[in-house]
Amino acid sequence: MARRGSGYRTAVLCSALLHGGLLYLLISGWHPEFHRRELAQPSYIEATLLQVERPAPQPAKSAPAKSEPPKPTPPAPEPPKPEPLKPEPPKPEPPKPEPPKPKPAADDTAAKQAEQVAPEKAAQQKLAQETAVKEKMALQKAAQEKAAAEKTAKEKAAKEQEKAAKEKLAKEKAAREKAEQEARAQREQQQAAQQAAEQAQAAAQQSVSTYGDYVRDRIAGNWSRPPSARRDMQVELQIRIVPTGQVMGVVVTRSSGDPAFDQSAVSAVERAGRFDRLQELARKDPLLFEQYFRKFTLVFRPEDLRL
Amino acid sequence: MTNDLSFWVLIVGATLPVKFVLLILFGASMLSWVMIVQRGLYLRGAGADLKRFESTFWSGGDLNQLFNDGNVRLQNNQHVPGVEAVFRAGFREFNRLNQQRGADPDSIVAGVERAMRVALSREEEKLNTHLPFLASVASVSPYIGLFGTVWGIMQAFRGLAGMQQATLAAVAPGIAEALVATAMGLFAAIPAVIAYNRFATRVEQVYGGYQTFAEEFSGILHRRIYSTGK
Repeated sequence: MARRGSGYRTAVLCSALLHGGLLYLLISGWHPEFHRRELAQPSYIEATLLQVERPAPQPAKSAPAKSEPPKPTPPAPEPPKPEPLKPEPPKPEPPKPEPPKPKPAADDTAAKQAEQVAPEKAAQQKLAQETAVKEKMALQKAAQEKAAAEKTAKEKAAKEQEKAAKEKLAKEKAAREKAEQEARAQREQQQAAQQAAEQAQAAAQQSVSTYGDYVRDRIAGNWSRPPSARRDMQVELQIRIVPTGQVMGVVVTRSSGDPAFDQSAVSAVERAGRFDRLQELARKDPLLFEQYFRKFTLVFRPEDLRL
Repeated sequence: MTNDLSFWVLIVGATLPVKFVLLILFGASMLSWVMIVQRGLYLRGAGADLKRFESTFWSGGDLNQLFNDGNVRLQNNQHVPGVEAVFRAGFREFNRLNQQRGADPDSIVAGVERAMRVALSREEEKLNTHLPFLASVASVSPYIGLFGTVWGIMQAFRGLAGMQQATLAAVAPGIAEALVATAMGLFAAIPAVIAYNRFATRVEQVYGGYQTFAEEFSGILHRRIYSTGK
């Protein structure tokens, strides 16, 4: 019988069909679970473990305030530096009076020698005097040469010092310019960040106000005016809303003084029940929702409602 | 968002090792299904053959006639079932030994039993082919799938580390992608485990049937030797 050969053929065919079907289902994007998942969504979830991160504006404002004071400080040490440089050049001058001192000293010794020699040999005196004069002249010459050498050395040193000072100055100038540039770039960046933050905040504020108006409209639509309501009455309500838009609780934080009016406001909120657009907001921008609508106070004022 | 997470998108978007793992598992699944179907057909056929042969054997027909029928089928290149192979081996050995003059009855029985034992072990081998492969697919493919998953989750968390805000939405696709590998591993392993267990018991049953038949047949031959010998 040919059963054994066909056994493999049918087996291969079965397997190929099975896996081909599987691949087809995968490629056609078959996913049966998602419908069930949607059904299983609870009506609301309360999770209070969220840390609302306040948007940048406040830290951005404080940051430039902190970073601006340091800017004046780098220039501060600079003015004193040129001053110490000026006292340095005069230094070479004081040494000049010093070289002449050796002259009198040489005179004295020569004179003393001459006096001692004079009583003994007059003939030798002349010679001695001549030698003394010669010595004196030699000494003077040596002193002068020495002084000149010292002078040139000092001048050289002074020049080097000046040069070094100039280099130092140039370097400091470059460093100062660099620091200023960096500071400027930093300032610009901070300004840009601040502007962006301000814009974001403005946009957030705008959407907050539009959503606030929406909430107010919804509540006003559900409000039935009690007979005791007056135009100047106002009641402050604290409303808690979960991200599904469902109102979780209303509390009167400041009464209008008229319990009937307070009650009417509370029941208006309860009747509104659910704010669909807040749910949208919570989905679109959870941060904004958490910050402004999770728990907010609403001043309910009949005059807003054009009574 | 639900559209983005269909299985195919997850598979295509997976990292290379995960894709490799998926490919291996897909191949293993395909092969194991080939073997499941082939073994199922073969073992069912073997069981039916055993029943049919036993019924013809015990119907009281001539053994020589049965042997000659088998010869004809072999010449026509047709299938000879496992039990019949055992029977033929034993009967051929018996005839050969019986034709020799002065053969000791005990040695004839021993020779027949030996011949049938050889045929039995050959048949057992045939019954057991592919079963070790099914066993290894069953035990290994969950691990391969797990490896793919672990790798994918590692990648997902590494990607998460690069982000500023750790949200569930950032990791969830990566983890879903990684879990596809485990799903694939289980998809390959579960049928293989079931089939292996089922086929192992079936092989045991059929082989037990063969053994019983061999014992009974050697008993018959034993009886025949002693009746003709006396």
